[in-house]
This record gives sequence, structure tokens and C-alpha cells, in this order.
Amino acid sequence: MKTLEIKKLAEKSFTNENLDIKKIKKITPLLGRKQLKVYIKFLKKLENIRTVWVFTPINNIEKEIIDKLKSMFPRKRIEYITDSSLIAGLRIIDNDMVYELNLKDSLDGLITYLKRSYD
Amino acid sequence: MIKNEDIIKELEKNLMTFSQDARTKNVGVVEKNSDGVVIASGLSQAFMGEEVEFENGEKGVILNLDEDYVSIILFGGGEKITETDKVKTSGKILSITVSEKLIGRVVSPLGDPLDGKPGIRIGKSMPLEKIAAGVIEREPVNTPLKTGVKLIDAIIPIGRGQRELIIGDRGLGKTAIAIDTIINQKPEKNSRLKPVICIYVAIGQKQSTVAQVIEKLKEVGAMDYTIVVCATAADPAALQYLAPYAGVAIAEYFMDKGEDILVVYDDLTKHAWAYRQISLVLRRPAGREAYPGDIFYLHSRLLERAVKLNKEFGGGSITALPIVETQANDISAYIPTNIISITDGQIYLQSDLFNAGIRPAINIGNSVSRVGGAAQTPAIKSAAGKMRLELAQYRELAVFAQFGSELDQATLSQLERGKRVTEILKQPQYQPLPESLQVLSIWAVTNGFLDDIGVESIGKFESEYHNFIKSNHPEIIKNLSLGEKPTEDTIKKMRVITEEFKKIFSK
Repeated sequence: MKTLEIKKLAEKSFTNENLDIKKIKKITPLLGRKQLKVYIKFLKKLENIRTVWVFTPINNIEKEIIDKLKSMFPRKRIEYITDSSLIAGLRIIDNDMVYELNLKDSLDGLITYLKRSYD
Repeated sequence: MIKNEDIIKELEKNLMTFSQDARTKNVGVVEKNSDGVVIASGLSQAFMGEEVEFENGEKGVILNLDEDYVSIILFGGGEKITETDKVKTSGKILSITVSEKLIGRVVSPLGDPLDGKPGIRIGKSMPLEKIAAGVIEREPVNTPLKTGVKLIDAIIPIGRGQRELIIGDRGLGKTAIAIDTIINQKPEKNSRLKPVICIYVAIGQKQSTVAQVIEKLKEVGAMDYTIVVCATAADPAALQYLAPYAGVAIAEYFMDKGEDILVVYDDLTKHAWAYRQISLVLRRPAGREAYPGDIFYLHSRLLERAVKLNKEFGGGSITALPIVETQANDISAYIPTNIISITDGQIYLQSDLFNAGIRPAINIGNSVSRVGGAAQTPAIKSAAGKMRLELAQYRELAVFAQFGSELDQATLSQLERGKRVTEILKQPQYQPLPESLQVLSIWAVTNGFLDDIGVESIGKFESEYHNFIKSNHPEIIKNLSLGEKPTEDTIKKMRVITEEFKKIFSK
């Protein structure tokens, strides 16, 4: 089976934006060891595309923010992770895009900027 | 001493310009790291030639964009980059920071210092890849770039903005000609020509060879106006591939300021090897001699950046002296023919001549300058006009004379003259001659003043003749250095002086 066909199979393994266990059980016996590796890789990638990771320094996020994030990323699963090193603000990872809206990143940027200015 | 308040004010001033906008990064994940090339997934916003940075601070540049992956060539060894490492785009095309402070420095193709001195952080960012100046911005080559090598300046003249290839086997003095040319660019007092900034780009050479070149340039004071861009054989292929582009990017910075620049690419054969290595690792289809299909474009887009700008665009120029190494004098190989067709002429060095003691070992028959003639000064043009013809006739007759048949007096005298012309064109390494002395030597030999001097004494005669005129008749040197065609009066004086010197010399 060619990589492109495995990719298509991985795409078809989802029902309503969630992995469908029945479909997966049907697909996996058809694949060899190497092909299975490729299949898992594609599943991970697709899963990644369908998930948005939100890093916050606090545990309880206001409902207002949650609603706003949901409207920003419709049809995507939003996972919340606590990261106290951010100090304040958010870090949002959507597939291969990272949005830095936190104090830590601003301070890091400031340090780099000043370092370059006074080198 | 700087006051505390001033420091705080400066800090505040800097902070005012600091942007606090939310930053967006495009990231990817390393899938594979082999042979200096990293395959990464993600990076959907990346573009060709974009600089990227890995988690451990290593940097690379994107050279392939596939549907799911991008291929990145690394500037370092990449030993610490492992699978699943993060990589992020920088949003900027690969460039080098250039300022006047770069003159006299030895830097890597990324602008990092290699001479132990501090790095250059402040300056203009010049892109390594840039489209060459168009026809509107250009003007024909019209100003000479004097190499100080008699044979080149007289027969194969180079003009500012020209691309002249130096080609030949290893060890025949290709680099020596380039170094002589750099040495000869030392700014002269009262010169009518603009001073030239030189850039020596070492590609894939031994570190010891590069060190020798730098040492020589320092010794003769040429580093005061020279920049060395260095990617040695020990550096990754990516840096060797980027080195000539870094050299020309630096040159463009100075050219934009109206300066004249000479760039030596030593050598483009190794550059082609580095690119072939990268291309094969990137799995690009291989063509003739396993070089990729775009090997011609690799060199043409580099050498097209050599230019003579017209006055409206500042009047600056970039002269390129690419060097190509041949195997067994074969100039019809793939890379040599490619570069011969791109450049405006070539200086061909031949091992037979070198072994016969003719140095520089330039084969005049195969060497040519397609545009340099227009840039030659009237002084040297008037003196050297006859020489090319005489040399061609001599070579033909010399072959004929080998059969040992009896020769008439005219042919014999032509052969003798040819021997003397060949002898006077010999020149030691690292001793470029000013134009005035070149004109004197060539004028003397082509006008028969050396016909009664033994061939073995020509070298001695020449150096003593130069010293005699320099010390006793400096007005002649001054007159000839103007570059104008010598007047009847000057020629008369030169005749009298030469006869006078010959009497002293024969004693």
C-alpha cells in the first residue's frame, strides 16, 4: 500500500471529528508493520490538526475566555494545560502555529532585544 | 565617562522602539537528521531560503518544500539535533550583516568572526540571494581594473564590472594571480581611479592554505582594504555552498555606496562539489557527473551579480574573478565549460608553460578578455597593440622552426624578438607592477631595444631599467601613469633614456 493510500485511510478513520474505533479495527489488520507505523504517524498528525493546546499559568480559566477560544477555533478540540512559567497570559498551539500572548514571552523578547542592541 | 542618567535615558529610548505585540511562531518537528540535512514536518508557513532555528540554538536554511515536509540544510554539525526536536521559522530570508567595520576582517558566510575579533552585529542586513541588477541599471565596462600582471594588463585586460575566469590545473598559480590583483589594488596617492575594496572568498580549501593567503595579505598591507569570507574544507557543505553568495552580498553593500569592488571566488569547482553533495542528500535528481539540473543556474545567478552600474545608480561596480580547477588541462569538462560560457573571458594557465619556467603560465592562445579591451588605458594599448600579433607570429614560427629547416634572417629575428617578448612577460609572484613600468617594459621590447640583449639577461635588464628611470627620470613615470597615450615628445625622451641606459648596462 502506498503512503498516499495510507494517508487517505487515516483521514477516513475519523467520524464526527473523533477517532472511530470500529474503522480502526477494520484497517489495522490490513497493514504490515512498516505501514502501520506510517498510519499511526498520520493519525497523530491529524489528531494534532484537530486539537488546540492552550497553556495557562492558572488552573481555573474564566468561562468568558473559554467561550471566546471555542469561537476562535470552531470544530477543534481544546485542551487546557497549566504552565506556571508563563507568569500571566496564554500560549496557544494550533497545529504548527504558536501564538504567544503571555508575559514570559514578552520578557524573553525584551531580553533578546536589549542584548542585540548592546552587543 | 557616561553618566547614569544617560544610560537610563538610552535604555528608555530603546524600550520605546520595542514592540510588545503578540508573537506568532511557525514551528515544526524534526523527523530525520542525516548528512547535514534535516527533514521536518509542520512549518506550513515556511518559504524557500528562510532561516530557521532549532531548540538547541543551531540554525539552518530551508532548501526544499514538500507537501508534508521541509528539508533544511544545517550551518553546524547538527549532532545534537534529534528526532522530535522543535524547529521554528524566523520569518526572514538568509542574510548577512554588513558594515564598513567588516573591512580587514575574516568572517564566515554567516558573518561570524573567524579572526578572534568581536562580531559585527550592527549594520545593514544584506540578503544572500538577490536578483542581479537589470539592464537599465548597467553600463558597459569602461574603467580598467589593473592586475599588476604585465601579460594580463597588456593582452587580456580586465575592466571594472567584468567577470574574468581564472582556469587551470592545481598548483599553476591561479590563486597567485588573484592575490597579485588584490595586492595591486593598494590605494595610490594622486590616482585618478577610485580605490577598490577586495573580497576574497575561500570555498572548500585547506585551512592552512587560507591562513597562508591571509598572512600574505597582512604582510603586504592588503588587509586594510580586503575582506576574507571563509568556508574551508572542514566546514559543512551548506556553508561552502553559501560562501560565494555571502561574498557578493557584502560586495553589493559597498557597491550601493558607489564603491568599486573586486570579488575573488576561490574556487567554484569546490563550490559545485558542495552543491552536488547537498543536492544528492536532498534526493534531487542527478544529471551529468551527478550534478543537479540547476548547476548552471547556481553559477550564472552568482556571476550575473557582477555589474558596472551607471552613474544614476551610484556608478559602483563588482568585478568577479572566479577560479576553476581543471583536471589534466581539460577545459572541456562540465563545470569549466559552464563557467567559461557565463564569464566575459578566461585566463587559462597551462602546466607545460609552468614547467618550462614561464610564469605566470598563461596560455595566450586560449585566454581572452571579451570586454576588457574597452577599459584599457590608451598608454598600455599603444604599447601592447603590436605585442599580441608578434607573440602569435612567434608561436607559429617557433613550431615551424622545430623541424630544423634553414631560416631566413627575417624569420630568425622574429624568433629572437618572440623569445624576448616571452621573457619580459615573465613576472615573479606577489610583485605586481604599476602601469607606467609595464608600459616601459613592453614599449622597450616591442620597439627592438632588447634585441641585442641576451635572453638570459632580460630579467636583470628590466629591473635595472625600471630603477634607472625611477631614480633619474621620474617625470617619465609620472607622465605614463596618467594613462594617456605617450606623446611624440615623451617617446623621443624614452628612446634617448633607453639608449643611455643600454650603454650603462652593457658596461
